[in-house]
Amino acid sequence: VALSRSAIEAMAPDQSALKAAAGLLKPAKWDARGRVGELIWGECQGSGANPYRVCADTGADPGSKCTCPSRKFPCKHALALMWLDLDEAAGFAAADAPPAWVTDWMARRRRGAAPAGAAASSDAAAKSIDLAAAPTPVETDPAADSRRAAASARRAADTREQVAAALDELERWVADQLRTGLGGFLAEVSERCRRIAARLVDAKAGALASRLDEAPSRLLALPPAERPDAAIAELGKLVLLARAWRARPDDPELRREVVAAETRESLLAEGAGALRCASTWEALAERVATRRDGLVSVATWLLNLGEGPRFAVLLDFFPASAGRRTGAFEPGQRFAATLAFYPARTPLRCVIVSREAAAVDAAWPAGEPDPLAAWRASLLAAPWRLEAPLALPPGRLCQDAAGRGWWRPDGDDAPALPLAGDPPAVSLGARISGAAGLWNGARLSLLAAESDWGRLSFDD
Amino acid sequence: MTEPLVALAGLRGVWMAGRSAAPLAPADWPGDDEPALVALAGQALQVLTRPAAPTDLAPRPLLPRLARPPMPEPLRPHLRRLLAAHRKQPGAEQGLIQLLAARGYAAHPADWMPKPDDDWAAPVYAPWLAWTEAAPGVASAPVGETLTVDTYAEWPWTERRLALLDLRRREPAAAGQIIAAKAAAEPAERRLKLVEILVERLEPADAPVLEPLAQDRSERVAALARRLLARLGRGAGDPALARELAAMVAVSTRGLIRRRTQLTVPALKTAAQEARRAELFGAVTFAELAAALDVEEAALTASAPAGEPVRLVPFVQCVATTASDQARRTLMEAMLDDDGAPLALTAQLAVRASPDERRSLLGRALAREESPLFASARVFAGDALGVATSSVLGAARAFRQLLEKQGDPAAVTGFFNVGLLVSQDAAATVIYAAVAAGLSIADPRLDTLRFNAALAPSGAAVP
Repeated sequence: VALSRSAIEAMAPDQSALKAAAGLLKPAKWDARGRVGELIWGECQGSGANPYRVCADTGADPGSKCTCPSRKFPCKHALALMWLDLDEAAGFAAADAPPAWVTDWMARRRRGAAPAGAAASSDAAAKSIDLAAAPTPVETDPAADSRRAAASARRAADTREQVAAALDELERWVADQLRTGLGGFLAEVSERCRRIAARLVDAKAGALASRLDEAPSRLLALPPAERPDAAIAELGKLVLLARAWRARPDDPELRREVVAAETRESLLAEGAGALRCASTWEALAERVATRRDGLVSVATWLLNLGEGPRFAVLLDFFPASAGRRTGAFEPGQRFAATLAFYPARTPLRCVIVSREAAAVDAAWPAGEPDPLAAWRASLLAAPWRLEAPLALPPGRLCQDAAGRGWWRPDGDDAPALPLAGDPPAVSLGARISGAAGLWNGARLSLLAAESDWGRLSFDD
Repeated sequence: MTEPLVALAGLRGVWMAGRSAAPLAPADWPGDDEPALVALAGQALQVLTRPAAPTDLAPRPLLPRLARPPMPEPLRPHLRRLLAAHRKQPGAEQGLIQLLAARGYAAHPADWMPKPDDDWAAPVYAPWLAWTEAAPGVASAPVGETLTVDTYAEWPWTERRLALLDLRRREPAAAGQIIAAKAAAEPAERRLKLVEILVERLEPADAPVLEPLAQDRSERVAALARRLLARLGRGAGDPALARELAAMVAVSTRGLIRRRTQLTVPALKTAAQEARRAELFGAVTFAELAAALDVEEAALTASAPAGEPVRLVPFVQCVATTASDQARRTLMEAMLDDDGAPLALTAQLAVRASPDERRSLLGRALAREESPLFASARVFAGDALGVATSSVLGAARAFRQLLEKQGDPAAVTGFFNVGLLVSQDAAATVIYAAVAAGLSIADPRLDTLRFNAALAPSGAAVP
């Protein structure tokens, strides 16, 4: 039984949330809508790279959950889902059981927590679905538009100036670390990186600041003997990035590495030049990391089972205070979709443009005989890259005498690669026919493998 | 080492110490621009060098296949979810793996592998246990060989123990002979495990194997061997202790038409006396107690004992560990028939029952379950899971309580245990009943029942 219009109005935090929900009522914006009893769910393509997973209980104790980062509760996606249930119930496929992520929410939700009553008592009368559904007249003011464009250009020039100054300072900082000795740098790496990262944040070089913030954890994850070379590579990449940006400050990839990523809208806008690729994709793994700047990054790594770039990554950021977040795909899940890649020398980061009905059944593409060739090629194109996905040929996972894990190829064409973390027991006894992992120049973090025991996952 | 690598080694040295790198820079590198130099050095390190693997890097043997089909692939995520959701619940992992076994499947090694101390793991997992425990370079069990007295030493311990357990189930005398010949040479912990194997299909022919072990230098081994001898009606303890215990209990006759003997465990005056009685129940065998009371063993087990449940626990434990199979079974049936006997106590008598015996009595046990947690019924069922029918469960008072108190936090455990106990058909019926009683069809508490309902038997013979 769907919630009534008045119940949805009462739950909405404000009229603008209802208005925003009205913009999400096109069934094309939704995938995998389903229902079991009074529980409904669906996946909505929002402004993030991963689709948002939305579910709602429309029963006696109504409630909802969405993976978007909105602070409004319920958010526009949850309101739209309940609204769709009211207006277009046939679009929800009846299922025997809800998907695992819905069950997971049901297990963790606090009963009776829905603020419907409170919201209803405050300003229920001020919120109206009918009003939200009414078309909004589009007002055009050429003068205002040109003022906005001019202001935007001024801001961009100002940012460029500030970033250029900060990058000069960064290079001096790199020179200082060399002059005072890498031994001292490694001894107080967190403090020193933190200081220069703060300066970069002030200068609006936010992406570069985050990279510096995470540098200590990358260096300290390695054994002490490997840290000097890793520090040289880390500092060298900073210099390369700074000089590349100075040469081409408008390059989209460099701007993304130094300042911030472009929005989904600008990426998908006509003339943005984003590479689009329609194919069948397999979700390899999800990597969730809490960063020092208080953001949680959720990266969903995808393998292309057809033509085009072999790997892709859907990358989203959430404030850590927003609680546990995950992507929209289970490891191993396959789906057909058109992806738009952020312009880059080696396209990797992407967003989903549209999803097709069914994924084709396809095998994993063969691994590269020398997987490090892809790493070297990506470094020659973009030497500031910190990691690259590798397609590994058949091999085995082993442990050395100290218990450290290694990936070892079957043939002699490729070198054995040391693993980040301990591989699961089963993988040490499996014959690996193909694997994918992230190589950072020092360690291989496996994402997934195909083996004589089937598909293997490697959690962080 | 190539020329650039020699140069990089030099640069690393001076940068670590904080000296100028200009004199060491290769001729065509910008020596006076240290940031540019570090950029080139970093790039060269990443492009030119390869990780140096140890020369003796060798993979382990391939994980062996088991003699039981792996569980259906579509249900694997469901099992992983259940294992994760109930990882803190005692016995949950065991129950889920035993339900799989009851339907004829083995777990997928990426979802679950036995740990060395998982003694409850079925012998079918022996190859995985041996693979997990084997150090690199240590040989595994000889392929195609059967365990005999002559090949005993060639088998790694884990495989040896599980092979013996398997042999004991098929040919108890052969396993007994191997234990008799080899136990003395094993350390105490292993001797105890070997005696535990004799619990399976214990028979009078095992007495000669157990008698030397009853004098073992390890008290734990000797105590277990004495208890097993007692079950066979062998061994003699201290009659004075039995007489002391007999004086602390009472025997009466009850019933007007059918006269039966009943043991009463009365309250004693002091806590010290109660403690002494509990201690004596641990030291005296059931046969010795019956003799001291001058009552036939069969008569003493013909009716459920009387007394506060907490005082009955040591007596029931005494029967469970030292009474003959006949006496234990008689008392268990009598307690199942007696409304006053708690199932939690009766279940202790089912621990050493055969799976067939537990399966045949499970219906009566479920009807007697007092708690909506169904914990006693789980103990009673042991590894005989996934068999209870919906009619049996529907008649259980505890099941009605579970449906009525579904909001209670303990209902999570109740629905989990019911999900393990019932048959595939009954699982679907229970889900409908729970939804009819107000639970959401998507409620995660029904997850184990959904798993059960989807897990069709493999059709393979279950060892």
